[in-house]
Order: sequence, then structure tokens, then C-alpha cells
Amino acid sequence: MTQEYECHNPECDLGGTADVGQFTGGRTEEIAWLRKPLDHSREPKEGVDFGEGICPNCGVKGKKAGV
Amino acid sequence: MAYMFPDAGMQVWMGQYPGTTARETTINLHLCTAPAANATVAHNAVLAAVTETAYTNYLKQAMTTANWASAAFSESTPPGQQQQYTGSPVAFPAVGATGATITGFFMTNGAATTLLCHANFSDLNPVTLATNDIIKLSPTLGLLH
Repeated sequence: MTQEYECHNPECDLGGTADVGQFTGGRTEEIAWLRKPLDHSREPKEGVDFGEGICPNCGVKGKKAGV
Repeated sequence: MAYMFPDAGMQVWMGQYPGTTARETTINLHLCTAPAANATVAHNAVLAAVTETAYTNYLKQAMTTANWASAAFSESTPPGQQQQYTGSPVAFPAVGATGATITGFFMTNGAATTLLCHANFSDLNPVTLATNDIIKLSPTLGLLH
């Protein structure tokens, strides 16, 4: 069964404004590169800025649903 | 835009009043790839009548009662007068590797077991989602005068 995640970042637009957004999978490396800090202070890292469990909309690590 | 509140869904809505079924405080908003963008389901449709999208990262979004503003008068489309609840915009997950062609959306009860309603988009056109695209819906619910 596909793992489901919840994004609890209050700044994230995923889901409705009053509710926790839900997703499967994770953020693509492409979008992490596109939205990396403009000062180039660091590069996106797998498991931190992209990959399974990273919210595809805001880039914050999600929580496993039901945990 | 066309929509249908099928028999099973109406039973849930009317079960709240005058019926006595358990209160639904959460509904789920889903995206679908069938029926076609210019069609909706039959009055006796059940959940199997819609095909939920499976694009990478997709998941239905829960909407609690807190996500809806108070009812207000409005002119509906097609023309009519109604009391309308307006939901806050609901964003779906950004698309990962594989996108989809979205033809409409549907709502289910909190347990996601009963089709409450289905609707296509107001321009009757499908929406093609590619990698990193985000689709956002602003749902409304109304009762016509």
C-alpha cells in the first residue's frame, strides 16, 4: 500500500486552509533545484529538500499519516 | 459546468436532516480522470462511476467544516439564486514524475466510501497536469431558491 503523508507546515498551501494537506511520494529534485536559496548558500539534498516524504508543495518533511 | 448529486450522496446529505444519520464533519475532495470533461455521472451512480486520478504524489484532500465560510446569498451558474457556502481554496499535491488529464472532481463522505457529488469544470475542458504542476480548486455548495 502506498505510504501517505501529512504536511503540517502552516505556510504550505497543500489542502484547505483549515486542514492538513495530504500527499503520497515526495518532492522532485527538479523543483528543489528551482527553488533553492538565491544566495546559493547550499544545494538541495536528498531526504531534506526532495525525495520520498518531502512535501511536493512546500519542501518541508511530512509526517506519515496515522502515526 | 455540470454536476450531479447522486442518489447515495443525497441520502447522506438528507440524512443530516431530516434523517438521523451520524453527523459528517469532514468530506473528501478528489480529482478524477473519468467521466469525460463534458459529462457527469448518472443519478444512480456510485463511487465506481468515477475514476480517481493516480498522478505521482496525488492524494485526496480532507475538508472539515472549518474550511467553509458562512452561507451567503449568491447568483449561481447556470442562472439561479441560492444560499451558498464557499470553501477555502484547496491545493492538491504538486505533480511528481507522472502527470494526468483531470476531467473533474468529486466529493465523498468522511470515510471516502460514498459518492456525494461529481462535477466537471465550468469551461467543460480537461486540465492537463505535468510534472511540478499544482491544481487548486475553490469549492462551493449551495441550495437553490
